[in-house]
Amino acid sequence: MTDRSHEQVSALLDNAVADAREREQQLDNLLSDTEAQQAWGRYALMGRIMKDEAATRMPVDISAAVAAQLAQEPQQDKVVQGRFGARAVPQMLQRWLRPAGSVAIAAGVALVAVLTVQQSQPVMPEESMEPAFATTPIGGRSPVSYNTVLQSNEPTQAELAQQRRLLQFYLLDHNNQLQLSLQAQQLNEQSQNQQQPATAEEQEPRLPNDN
Amino acid sequence: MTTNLLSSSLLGLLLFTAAPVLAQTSPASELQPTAPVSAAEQRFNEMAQALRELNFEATLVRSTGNRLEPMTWLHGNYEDGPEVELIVMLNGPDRRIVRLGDDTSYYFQPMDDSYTLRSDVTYGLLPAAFYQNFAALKPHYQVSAAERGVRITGRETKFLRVLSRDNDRYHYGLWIDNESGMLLKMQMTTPQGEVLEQLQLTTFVEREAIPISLSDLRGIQRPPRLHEIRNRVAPQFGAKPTYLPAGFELLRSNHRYLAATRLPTDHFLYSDGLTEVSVYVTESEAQSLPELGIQGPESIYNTNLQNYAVTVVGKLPLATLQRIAENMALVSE
Repeated sequence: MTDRSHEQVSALLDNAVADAREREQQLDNLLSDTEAQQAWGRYALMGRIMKDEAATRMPVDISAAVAAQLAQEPQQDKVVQGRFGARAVPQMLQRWLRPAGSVAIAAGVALVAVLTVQQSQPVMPEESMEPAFATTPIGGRSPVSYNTVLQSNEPTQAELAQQRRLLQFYLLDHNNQLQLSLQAQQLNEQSQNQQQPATAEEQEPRLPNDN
Repeated sequence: MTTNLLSSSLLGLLLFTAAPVLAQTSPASELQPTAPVSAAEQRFNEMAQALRELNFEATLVRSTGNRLEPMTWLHGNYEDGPEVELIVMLNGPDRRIVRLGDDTSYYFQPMDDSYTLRSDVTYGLLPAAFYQNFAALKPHYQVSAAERGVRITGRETKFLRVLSRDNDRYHYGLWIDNESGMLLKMQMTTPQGEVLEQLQLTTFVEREAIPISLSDLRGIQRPPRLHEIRNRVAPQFGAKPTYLPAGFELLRSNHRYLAATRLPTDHFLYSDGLTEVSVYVTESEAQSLPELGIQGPESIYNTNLQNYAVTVVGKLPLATLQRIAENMALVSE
């Protein structure tokens, strides 16, 4: 397709072809020429973008989707107890309070760099992580420095997995407690505000001294 | 254009009104050198306000190490007051957070895991301290401003740096939209400058009123509220932290099983207003972790102290965790 015909398409798009007969002829060309049609599409899109009219995909109505989804879900009216104690089913607890917006637990550990290895082997914190540790033969890289750390009584794969799991639980627990602590502070703040209605509007510094 | 003028005159007004306050707190602050600091603090406070008051629709990506998490972030204020916020994770399992005023609900699939907490900040996206004035952080952090930031998401920004005064904690870089005061990018780094976590808005649209998609969120069903068991058991093992960086205060301490394990554990939770650290004590025989330290967005350090395993977890440099762990006092025997 020549520059000339590009120009024609462009002019056609902008309604800049004055002569009616010429316009008709160019329209004929356009209809018979796929390349010209593509050019038309591109120009039209470019025009819209430049005029800031391109269809924005932003306002996806998420609330409707949430509402619809929730409507389908079974009713949950039981109150969840903070399950620290023995009654908890481990499987459920494991999922409880998974920090949603957050810190995905795994993520926290995923990008770890082992800085200090004092006596024993470092623990490989995340299954999906490609470990750099010489204790695991599957890893691609194995820094030489770690080899010197190795001892004969190196832990088995199962032990390593167990240790990883435990580390995750520590991180999980930490995040759970943070959320509960956030709630406790809020409740504390609110009860204080109820006692002193005059300051109810004030945004108090939230964190200090709540035991 | 008019909004620009308006906001700049508003800024001028705020600075003007802030000046006497500053003079009150320290007489020396009228001198030139402190002036940029107060401007930075002012900007931080404007960001805190923007996070509460703006109506916006945004998408963002959080990057931790080699992991990327895209999400949608909508925020608005109902005409009659309450704030509403919706965060939707776009990759992986469908997870959503809905915050209406003081109630934050975390939705998971399956629904059984969903829960509601009483909290006026959404946990996990930004530190709760970013929703308040900087004054709360001032004893242990300082904020400084660069003349101007780079372009973020196609918008001009100002750059703020939140530094710990003692280098025992992580630092934050904040890019703040000139026009709206909105946080457009955040970096959490080690004191040495290594980036551990980043948040980057990829689209940001400010709205006059509450985004339409949030307007009917009030009607949705909320998952059950999470209550804590009231009677907590006090720590049992008699090992207590004696060192914490300045400003860390005890939020809670108790004795219980660790998360989903059957590991009897003492737990101490401390906060300095911006970040938190947990200290766990358990019997080393039952725990059997080697000594180890991992530095990341959440660092973890484990060591043994006589018969006890001490594990310290938090958004802090590993060296700090190590110092906490090595300064435990055994109270009994």
